[in-house]
Amino acid sequence: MMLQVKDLSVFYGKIQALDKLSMEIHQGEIISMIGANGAGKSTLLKAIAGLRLQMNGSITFEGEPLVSKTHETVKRGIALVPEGRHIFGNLTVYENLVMGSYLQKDKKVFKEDLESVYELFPRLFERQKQTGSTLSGGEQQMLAIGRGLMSKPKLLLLDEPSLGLAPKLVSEIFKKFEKINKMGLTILLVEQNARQALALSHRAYVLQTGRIIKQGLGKDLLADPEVQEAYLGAKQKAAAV
Amino acid sequence: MGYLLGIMTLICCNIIVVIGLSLLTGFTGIFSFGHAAYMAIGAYSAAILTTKLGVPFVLALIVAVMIAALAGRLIGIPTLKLVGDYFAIAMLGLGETVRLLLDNGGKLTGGARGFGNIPGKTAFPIAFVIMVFSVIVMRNIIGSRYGRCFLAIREDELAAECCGIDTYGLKKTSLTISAAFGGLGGALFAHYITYIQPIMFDMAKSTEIAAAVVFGGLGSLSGSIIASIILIGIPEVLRPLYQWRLVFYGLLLVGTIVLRPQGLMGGREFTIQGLKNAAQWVQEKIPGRGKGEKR
Repeated sequence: MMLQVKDLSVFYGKIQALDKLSMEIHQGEIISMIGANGAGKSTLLKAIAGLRLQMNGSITFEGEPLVSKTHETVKRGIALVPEGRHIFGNLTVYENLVMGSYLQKDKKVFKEDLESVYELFPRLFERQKQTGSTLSGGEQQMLAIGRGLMSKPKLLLLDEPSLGLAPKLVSEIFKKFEKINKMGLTILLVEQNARQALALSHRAYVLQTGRIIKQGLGKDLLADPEVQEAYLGAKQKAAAV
Repeated sequence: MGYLLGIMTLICCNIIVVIGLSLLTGFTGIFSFGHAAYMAIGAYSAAILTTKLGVPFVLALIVAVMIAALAGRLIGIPTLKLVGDYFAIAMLGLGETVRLLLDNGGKLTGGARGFGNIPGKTAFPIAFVIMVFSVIVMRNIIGSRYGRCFLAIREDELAAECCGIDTYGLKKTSLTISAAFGGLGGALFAHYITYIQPIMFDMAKSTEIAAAVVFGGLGSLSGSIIASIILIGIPEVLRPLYQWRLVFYGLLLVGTIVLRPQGLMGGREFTIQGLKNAAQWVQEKIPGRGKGEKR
């Protein structure tokens, strides 16, 4: 088991965002978390990434507990691609990627990583000298993912990567996730775009108000009538037809 | 001549304090309205050391810098977890706390009556050399790996954290260095003016330091230096106007905010090429000269 979350509760002041949540991720999987706004999906990612939240419970990564410090978790091999991209707008694409490899001291490894990111996202190579803020939304998302990959993670946490992207770009980026997974990375994907996320992932969890209400194989959940009604808009579609 | 040298010495002391805050506010993106506190800590530590304990001036300077840095570090531990305005308010409180502590320091600090008989060791050449040295050190810090991390924190703290930068630790480092520069400036100031009093390091002083950083342009070291020279120099140049000079001082600040909200240098550094470009721009604007008239 790669990552195990056990009885995790997270609070924002008096408000409880996660309620004794338990989940696990195995090596090489693509896991997705789906759920409505405010279900606690992003909170879970933040907790795993170590963004200093008020929390109880335990998170263990490769058998050892994770400390609630982001730079430590990055060192351990977990990279968070935050919601809303958060790239450095004033830096060029190349410089952004350099920042991503902040902990990498070996220049040779850095070059290899850079090449593999450029190979994955040729658009970034074309625009390597452009500043981050001049990129389109999709390219910025690619850059955010590329920057995450530069820290050579074992586990990639993706927070709403489809946010604000055109549908065509969403499919394109989702295809990249499969590629990244084949490169040997484990992926935890948090998404509102439930249909595509479920189709992509091996297993999935459905989150509602801080609790996991359903879990199973991606395919099975896609076929589950309750999930269809709540997250895939099946009923509305039937009514419309 | 002595008067002019005196003003220049004061400017040197101030530049050291202002570039210290420039690192924190301009390059790390953390606002502080209590920076006079570190200046006060440096000034009083050095003054007590030289006057009461007979410690040599240079050694006193070094110890004062270390005390100020330590104070910055200790204060940073609880307060740097605060975000944005809350930290600025905490620093405001710190500024007042330090002033009140000095006010009630009894025989050690001389209380509100002030602390006199400090040996006047800060001659202009000494102040100038230390100032130049400080600027070089600061420039190297900003150009270093640390400096780039500070910039990353200023640009986007979450992104910096996702890159594996220890943002909390580096913010503490930034505050520590910043406080050390404040302490150095304060220690030099005390040994120039030979008499210090807590009211010299009140909120108005803190605001003045912060104003110089913003006036010069956030994220510009040369901007901070130019701003310190102007903001200390202008009240002296305008001395014939008596109390009206503060009005002009205010107008200067308001004018800058309206006409050049990004500050004098606007995040860029002063270079010879930049000066040439500016000169060319001015020439083009003047009718009857330069390219502006060529049709």
